[in-house]
Parts: sequence; C-alpha cells; structure tokens
Amino acid sequence: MTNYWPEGIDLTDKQSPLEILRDAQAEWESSSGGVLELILQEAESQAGYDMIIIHARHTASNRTASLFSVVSRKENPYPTRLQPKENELPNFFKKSHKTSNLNSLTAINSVIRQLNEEKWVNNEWVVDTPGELREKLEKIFNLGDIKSEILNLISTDVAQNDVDSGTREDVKDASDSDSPPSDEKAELG
Amino acid sequence: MRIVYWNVNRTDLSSLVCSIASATNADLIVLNENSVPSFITLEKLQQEVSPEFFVPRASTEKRFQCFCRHPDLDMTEVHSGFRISVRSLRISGTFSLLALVHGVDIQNYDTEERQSFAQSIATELEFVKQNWKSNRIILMGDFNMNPFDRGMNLAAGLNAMMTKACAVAGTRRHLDKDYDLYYNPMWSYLGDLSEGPAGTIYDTSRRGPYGWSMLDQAILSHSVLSLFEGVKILTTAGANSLLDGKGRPDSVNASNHLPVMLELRDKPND
Repeated sequence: MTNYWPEGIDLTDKQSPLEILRDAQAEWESSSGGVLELILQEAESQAGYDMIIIHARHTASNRTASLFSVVSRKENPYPTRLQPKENELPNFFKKSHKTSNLNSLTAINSVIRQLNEEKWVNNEWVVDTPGELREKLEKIFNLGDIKSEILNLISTDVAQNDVDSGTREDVKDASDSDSPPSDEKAELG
Repeated sequence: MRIVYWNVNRTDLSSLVCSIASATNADLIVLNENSVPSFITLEKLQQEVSPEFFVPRASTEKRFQCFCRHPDLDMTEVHSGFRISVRSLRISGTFSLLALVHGVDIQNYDTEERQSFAQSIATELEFVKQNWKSNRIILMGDFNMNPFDRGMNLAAGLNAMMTKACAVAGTRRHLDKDYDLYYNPMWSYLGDLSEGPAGTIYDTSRRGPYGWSMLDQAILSHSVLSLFEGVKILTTAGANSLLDGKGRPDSVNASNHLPVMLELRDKPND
C-alpha cells in the first residue's frame, strides 16, 4: 500500500500562527480566571519577517513580561520559528544545563576536528505545520524560564498592591496626564 | 535626583559602590554584571551610606541590581524583557519609565546583530509605552554600542539624537510611521575636547577600534527633556580614582567600565 500524501498535512487544519496564538490567548484567559493575559504584539523583524511577540500581563498590576516570539516569512505562515527568551538564570537555578569536562588542549583539538566536519544542525523550534506549531507551543509554555516569569508576575502581587496604592489615586484623576492609567489597557492583539 | 549606573564587570566592588553612593548622594544605584548577591551589597549600603536603601522587587535581578534610597521613587519592575527591565520611576510623584538596558556584547555579536538588538528593544518599548500609555522614558545601561552606531540612531532603532534641540521636534517620520525622538547627551563627551574621559571603556582590540568607546549611556525621550539636568562619567569613587596611571578605566582595582551618573530635576524646566 503506497502513501504519497505528505505526513502531517491536514487540509481541514489551515490555522495561521496568529490564529493559533489567539486560541492560546483565549485559553490563558479562561485557565487563569482573568488573572493573567497573553498579549500578542505584531511587529517586523530587522530582516523584514513577520514577527509576533508574546507577552504575559498580570491584569491587576498591569505588569508584563516578554515570553518569546514567533517569526515567519511575509504571506508564508510556515515554516515558523519560535524564539524562546534568552535564559538568564544562573546555572544553579536551572534544572539541567550543559557542562564540559574538556581541558583547554582537548577543547582546541575538538574545535579543529569540528571545523573539518560537516554537521547537521537541528533547530528544534522550527515548525512546518499548524499541528507542529501547537505541539511546540505547548512545549515552550512549559519551559522552566517561562514558568518562572509567569510565577514572578503573580508572586509580586502583594508587594505591588502596596506600592500601587499611590497609583490608584492617580488613576482616579484622569486629568493628570502624567499618571499611569494602570486600569486602562492599550489595544494590543 | 541622581541615578548612577555601573557595569562592575563581575567584580566585587561593593566598597567603591558605597563610596560613589556617599560622594554623589545618589538616589538610585543600578549595577550591571554584579557577581555579588544583591543582599550583601544592600547590607553594605545600609551600613555605610544610608539605612534607607532597599532593593525594589524584580525578576531580572541577575542582570540588573537596583538599590533605591527613597520608596517614593517606586522602581517596581513593570516589564521584564529581552535584556531590558523597565521600572516605574516617580520623580516628584510624576510617573515615568526607566528602562535598564544591557546590549548584546561586541565580542560575540557583530554590528548587524547589535543593530537588530536595538530594534528589538525599540519594539519592546513600543509595547510598554502602549501598555502604560506613557512615552516618558529614560534609558540607561551598557548598550554595547556607541552613540554613533546605527542601532542607536535609526528611526526604527533607538532614534537617539546628538543634541537636545534635535529631539525637541518630538517625533521623526519614517516610512509613514512616527517614531519618538530621544536625546543622547553622551555625544557631548566623545573625544578630547570634552570634560573628563573620552568614553566609558577603553579597548584597542578588535572590539575597540576607536580606543575609547561610549558603551554606557543614558538617553531621554523628548517628553522628559525638561527634567534633564546633566550627565557625568564618574572617574572617582570618593577618594578612590577609577582610572589607572594612563587615565583609562582601572580594570585591576575597579571595573573596565566607568560609571555614568544621570541628574534629573525634580520639577520640569519650562
């Protein structure tokens, strides 16, 4: 039995990255009970590619954190590349990290050997289909860094409320343009 | 008010930090690449300078450590981004945003990548500005770019101009889009004919084709220009010099970067 149909292609599943991210946005809204919000910022990369930056917002305090971005060619939603935020945690806070026991001489030898070798580089964050994108999105939202960012947004809630007591007063006075209108939300994705 | 920013190059310079805090009477100290845990530096600042110092809460503490003297300044992190941390800064009760920046390094990233980083900061700031409905932004940090590098002055980058007068117009139009103008006072300190050192870092290797570079900078959005009092490259920490015998940053006893101090007025100068 032959099978010439490309694996992973489902003609009924044509969702663009933006549409899939909007689904994620709706899920966040319901799963967090409105405490956290996913914001999609549409932008353009320096190379001219379409880029969607994904931020999390803590609704009560209006504080935000950038989580990752999704990049694709104009008018060509796939392949799409997910770009996780650079890991800024020190190694002792990471559940796992790479280490090397090479001393400097073996390291130099290893570099020279690598220069002579052709190597396939797998980019685990590039996806070709909507199905793959959903799969990787689940994975990226479960990265330790992302979870930490989300928890940090929530955990500073009490301190933020204390500090914010002044802010709330300002908001009441809508005529004061210098005050942060923290309960007004910008119209973003 | 006075804000001191210093890339301490992963060295324990707590004593010098305290000397700077005392000598400048800084309201806010931001340390970048500090290998000393913030609670230790804080303890030292509280003991040697003022018990009022505190560390505002933030998730990006590994990159930027902030020590604030007055709770009124707030300094809460309102956005944690890609190598930037944006804080709520209240100057005499007026809300502004202070964006702390640490650009990608010159050794591992070429000119185009650093320019691309500047554009990504600009994109993030656009988001923050919309979220907080404010364009009162001050940026401070080690940008790993000189004031004349494209990323610093491209419209879609940081759009930072050489003189105050250049930024007064407010915005610059490029490809049918308006971009907020910034003023970069660090231009005034480049080269021999300015007061003090010719930059904040000295390097003649592949990374430093000009000898001196002005990688540590403070830039201000047009909407906070009236608060600008001045900027200084610090060469002393109290009685201690931060320069070596040749007048370059003393990377043995201090850091290879010199600190930058931004002075802001409490009330706008109309």
